[in-house]
Amino acid sequence: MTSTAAAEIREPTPGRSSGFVTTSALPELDHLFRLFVLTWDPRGASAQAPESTRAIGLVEALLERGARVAIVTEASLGALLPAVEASIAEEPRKRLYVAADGGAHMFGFDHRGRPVEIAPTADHEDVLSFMMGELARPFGIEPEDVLVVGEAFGPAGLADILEQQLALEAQMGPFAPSRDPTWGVVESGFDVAREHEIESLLTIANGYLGMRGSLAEGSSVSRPATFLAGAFEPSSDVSPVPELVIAPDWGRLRFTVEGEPFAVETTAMERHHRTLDLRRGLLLREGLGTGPGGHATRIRTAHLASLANRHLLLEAVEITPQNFSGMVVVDAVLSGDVKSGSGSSHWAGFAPRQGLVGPILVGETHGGLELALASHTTAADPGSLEMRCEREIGPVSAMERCTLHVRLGEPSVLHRVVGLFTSRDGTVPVQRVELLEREAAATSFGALLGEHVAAWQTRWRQSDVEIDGMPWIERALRFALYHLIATVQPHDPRCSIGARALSGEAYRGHVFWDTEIFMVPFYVHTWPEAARTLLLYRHLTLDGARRKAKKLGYEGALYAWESADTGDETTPEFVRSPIGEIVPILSGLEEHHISADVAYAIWAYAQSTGDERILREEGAEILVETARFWVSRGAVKADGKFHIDRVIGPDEYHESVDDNAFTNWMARQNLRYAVAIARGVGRAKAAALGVTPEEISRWEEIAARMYLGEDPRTGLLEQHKGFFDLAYVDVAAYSPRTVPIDVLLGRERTRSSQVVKQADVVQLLALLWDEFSPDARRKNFLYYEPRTAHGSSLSPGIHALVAARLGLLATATRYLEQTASIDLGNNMGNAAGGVHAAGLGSLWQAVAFGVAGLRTTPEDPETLIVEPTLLPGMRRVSLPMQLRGRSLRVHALPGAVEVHVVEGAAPIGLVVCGEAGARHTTRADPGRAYVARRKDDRYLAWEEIEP
Amino acid sequence: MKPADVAERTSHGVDRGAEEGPRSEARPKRQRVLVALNGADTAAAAAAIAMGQLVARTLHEPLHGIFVADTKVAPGDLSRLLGLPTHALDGVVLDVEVGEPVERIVAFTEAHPTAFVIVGAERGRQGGLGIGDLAAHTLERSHAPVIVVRPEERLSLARILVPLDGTPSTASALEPAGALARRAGASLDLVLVGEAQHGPHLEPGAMGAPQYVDQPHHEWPAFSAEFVHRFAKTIGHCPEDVPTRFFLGAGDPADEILRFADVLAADLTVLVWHGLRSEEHGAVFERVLRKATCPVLVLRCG
Repeated sequence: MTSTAAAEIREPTPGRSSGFVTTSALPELDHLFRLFVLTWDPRGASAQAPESTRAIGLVEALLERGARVAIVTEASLGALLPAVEASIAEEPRKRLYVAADGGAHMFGFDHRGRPVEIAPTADHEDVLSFMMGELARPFGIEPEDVLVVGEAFGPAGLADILEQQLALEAQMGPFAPSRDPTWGVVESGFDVAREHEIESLLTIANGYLGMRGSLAEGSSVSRPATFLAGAFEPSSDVSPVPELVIAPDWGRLRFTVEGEPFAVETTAMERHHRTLDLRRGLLLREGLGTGPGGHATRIRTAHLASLANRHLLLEAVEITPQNFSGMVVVDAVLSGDVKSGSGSSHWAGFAPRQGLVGPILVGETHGGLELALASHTTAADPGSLEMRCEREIGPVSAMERCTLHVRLGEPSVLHRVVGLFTSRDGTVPVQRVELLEREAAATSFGALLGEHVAAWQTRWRQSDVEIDGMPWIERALRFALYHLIATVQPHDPRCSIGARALSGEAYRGHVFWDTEIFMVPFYVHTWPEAARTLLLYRHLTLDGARRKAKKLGYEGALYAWESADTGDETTPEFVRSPIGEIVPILSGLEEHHISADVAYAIWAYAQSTGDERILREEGAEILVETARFWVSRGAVKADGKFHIDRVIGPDEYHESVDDNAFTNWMARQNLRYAVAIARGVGRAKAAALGVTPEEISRWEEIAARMYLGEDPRTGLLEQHKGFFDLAYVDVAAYSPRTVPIDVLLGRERTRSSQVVKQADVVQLLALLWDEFSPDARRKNFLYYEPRTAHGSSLSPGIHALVAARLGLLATATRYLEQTASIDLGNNMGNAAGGVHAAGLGSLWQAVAFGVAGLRTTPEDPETLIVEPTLLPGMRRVSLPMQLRGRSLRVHALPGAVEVHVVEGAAPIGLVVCGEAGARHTTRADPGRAYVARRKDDRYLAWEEIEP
Repeated sequence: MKPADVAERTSHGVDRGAEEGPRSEARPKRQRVLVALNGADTAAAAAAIAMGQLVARTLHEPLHGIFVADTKVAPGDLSRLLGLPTHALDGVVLDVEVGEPVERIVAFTEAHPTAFVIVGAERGRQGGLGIGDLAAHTLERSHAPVIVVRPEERLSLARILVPLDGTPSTASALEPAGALARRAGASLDLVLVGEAQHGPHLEPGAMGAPQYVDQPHHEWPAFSAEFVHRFAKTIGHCPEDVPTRFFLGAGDPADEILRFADVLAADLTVLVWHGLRSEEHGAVFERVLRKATCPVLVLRCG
């Protein structure tokens, strides 16, 4: 490889300048660029030249690694295309751009590798500024991450530059962050004020456990915690409630460079980046700093919780002295010195010990949970590294102290394999963890890492959503899906998902309706096995729901508003507000729609997966018991209608209301499902539960008599009895605001006003879309949307969904952006206690059910209705979807919608809306692809196309 | 009215590399407490001296009194010029200077480490922030912390009210307040006021009340604890052993600060001032300063 010393990084002057400022001549290309702007002409005879062939092959390799490449050429697109099509596969081509005709026309490539003109108005006098504005900035690519290579280099020089970039990436190995900014969350520097929310955002998890992304060596503000999914023990509150157990800290790494600690608060950091690699499920860190003694060191780390083996936790460390050779000590610690946010120390004691492979920390909680953690640290290349590791055992900790002799400029790499088992996994965790460590010791670190990455790749193939034209939303969605994938344990029904997933202590790991209504739909359509497991959690906790119903004087099962391990109610009855009021908490006593929400989720899961087994057994039991609850919960009044009094709907600003529409409609659905099951596939189970034909008829009658709050005059649903009589408050007049509106208005005024906390009737529209006429959907949305203050993170995503379905583009865009900002917005401090898992799920729903417009009807679950509404700026939305055993891939485009039935054993119906309300239906065969082209605002009939 | 329970606990960072993280030792080293005196308002001078004595006693620091006149004055004449009995100046190291008063006060604070400058608000003076020229000009020009005290105010240091706007730059000025609270054995009451038609601060690390309160009984305690940790401990370096409570207000910030000062019986209200006076910047500061019914400690930031 020849030198690239003449290559230049350039960046544009601010604004649309006519030229570029050369910032530096680059001695070496020492970091991974994300956007390459290549002035080059790979066409015609020159394309055949060996150096051109090599260069374009390297372009493809960079594209495959997530880089974006823009080719600036004087040629037309037509002249260039053959070379592109011959050399670059369709998938990586999506990240290729061509500024043809000297920049007069800018093209990208769609999912089929076809060119799409994305910016016909490019100012060809200023192509590079245009690229920065159109490509770099929307993707968040900083000018220093853009490499501009001029024509003067020629194909050979260009190929050398690209090859060097690829070689650098290979050399960095697992420490190399993705070049694609839509696949990463990067936090640079160290900000004590934001550290807690950064720790939440950068959580690594695998459903079995979740570890906040705290600095490995800690800081004065670090709050590390590893949460064990499903393991609850009492808090230290005055009225103890169960909270997630925080496991001993396994991720501690202390670095001592020539006797001085290497840490963000004691080392002068020239460079410090943390990157959550969403695609691979890795937390990466790079710190380049100089200690008080002048020793400059670069340390890179990688941490992961294996998705391939959930008991396995891996760390890799690379240490490179920049100006010295000497000694570095790495302490790899297992520490039991941990407490929960409530101040509880769940651990009764520890018995650290020497294991066969490495030190082991054995502990037992006050509740009797046993845990064993084992650690083994090795040199990546023992032959080239002088390293000595000793074990140190303390009262509550076990540690490996590895002393390395590091050499100037040479990376020294360590690998650490940590195993974790608890008594929840079976007997004698210490034996299991030792066995795991022995097995891991016989496997290369690279292989363990590879299995983890492969497991993530499998999940992303089933989940990833591409949004061409809105990279910020695309990245937020990947962030959302990363956490949703990472937080679910697909094989253990003892674990559901808490409101803050496994990323923070807020909400103590408690499970709400958030899981069934906001998260489960994602799993249903991308990971049905995980969805099933989450629903089985509700079966395991059914006895708790029975106890709660009985305690409150009802029949059947009333699920806990806040559920932990047993299903018993864990909502406190009072709280002290920040303005000092003692506020009663009624949600545990009155927010009863949770039972219908669980029933809805089970039904929707079965409809969307075709899983009748759950309806025959566990689902049947849940539907029967929840139906029994509703029968006992209300009464037929003088008007002949069944009324449910004194409840709280999703709008928690209005408590103790009668006939909340959401509750009543959902209860009716619950009863209907129970009738269908008890007379259908679940009749044996129902009979075993003592269900009689008379009881079924009673359910049917109550469903038919349910008071639904419809106003025939206006077409509106009254959110609850008397809502229409409440005072109107112009919510918009209070925007923007720096405090929730109920705090501004005060409790009493809020209660007596038409101020809605979160989607309530709108939530109902989203869930029971086909129960409402198009006119009713629109009227109700337009009525309730301006009255909704979005005081809950559950609200904006559902508004985006419904607005998109209604074609309210600006409104949908606004809410989609708001949803995407809930955790990534950076300036709210809201994420310090953990990410908002329901908000993450609602973001997926907003895109899949709203923008892509995917749904089935209750009458025909074998048919997928496809009604996309691309929002302004979106050029394409592509997503996979599982539906009743078929794997589909949907591409919503401005002028068409394509559906590819990737896998399946039988055809599935596809429907689009044609002219005059007509519907175009086709039976789509597995292995085939179909397109419905758009004419005006309607679709033409389906045509088969090449997959 | 009582604060959120959780906020009363202190939050401890975890130094994963050592058993304990770095501690804040905010107590200033041998600093002076300076009372700014003039003869325009006897009651104001008396109040300032009394407050100075309280603060100096609390900090175990020497109390200095500076009197600046157009012509040379003998220290022995000061009590007469101030209209005070001689014993009122007991324990005060007197520094009599010639020149422009505020210029000499600022020069003193620059020449000597000064914990606080204490100045009395002159009654019946509408100009100069409503506290009289000496106090107003001292506030405007001094970068040392200034306590403005009115004659009628009761003097104590048990409860210190600290309104914050949720930005790190403001909170960074809090260290003297925390140090004073620690020495006085006082509690800190942090107040954040949310308001309508006001967007969140864009400063990195800024924190307002949560936009989303999915479940109030989880969200408010968590928010309170995080706010206290972020601003009082992490940025403000308030000592861990100072009892700290957090309150959230809603509405007009100045009105809410004054309301909390009254309801919580604050002995001292701490205001952070950027040094600007306009409707956009400094309006809250000015209104609270004018209407406060307890001494006001003004800390300059920026």
